[in-house]
Amino acid sequence: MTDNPTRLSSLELLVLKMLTNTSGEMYGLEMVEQSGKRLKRGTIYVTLGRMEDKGFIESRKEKQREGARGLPRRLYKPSALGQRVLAEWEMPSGASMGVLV
Amino acid sequence: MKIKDRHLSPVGLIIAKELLDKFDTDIADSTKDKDHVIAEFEENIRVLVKTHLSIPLQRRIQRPPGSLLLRVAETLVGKKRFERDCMAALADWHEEYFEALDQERGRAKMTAIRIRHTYAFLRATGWLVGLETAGKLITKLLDKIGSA
Repeated sequence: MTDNPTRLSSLELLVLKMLTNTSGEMYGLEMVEQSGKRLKRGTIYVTLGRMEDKGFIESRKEKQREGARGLPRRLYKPSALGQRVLAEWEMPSGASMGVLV
Repeated sequence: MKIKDRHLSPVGLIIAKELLDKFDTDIADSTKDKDHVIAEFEENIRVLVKTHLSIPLQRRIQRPPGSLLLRVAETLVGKKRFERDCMAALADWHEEYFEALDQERGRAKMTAIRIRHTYAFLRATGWLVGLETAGKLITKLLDKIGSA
């Protein structure tokens, strides 16, 4: 792990919020579509990979759906650490753990 | 997926017409079980689609978009990055591509999807970062040479 795990970029914050607010898991393209152009196709996978390295999110390969023709998608959900970091971040007193970069 | 004339080979089209005629006759026959007729027809169509696809559609299905990029990336990108980031990028590419194919979107839309996802895939491999850095270094070097 090269990065300080408590550092949270604006994109990472956005991804964490989206993943926490959704009931299930999300895949990359779905996040891009729901972010209202704030997340781009070109950066989402790099961001998600970095967040997984930091332990903020977890991912798994989707089971191949019946009749699916493409590769199975990768589904993401927030980890316990990610949820804790987000909760700290959203505390009104300010982020005691996080440093927005 | 809707089956159109151009999705089937010429022989496939003849068989499809025969199957449709047989279906019409069987469904009109009151002695035959309708559920069985429908199930049999669906099974026949499923086999027909598998065995008599038109050549352009076969090509598209045999070589899904990004296949070549994936093969190149497999050898040049680290295993972790490849399996996690590149495969995720390609899976989303396929998702959007096949959805557009099912909706029979035009060539412009398909090309736009291809361009956007090729860029996303290249970003996921990390190659573009290397190219951007190299570009910046060359620009700086040229500036220094120019000012000397």
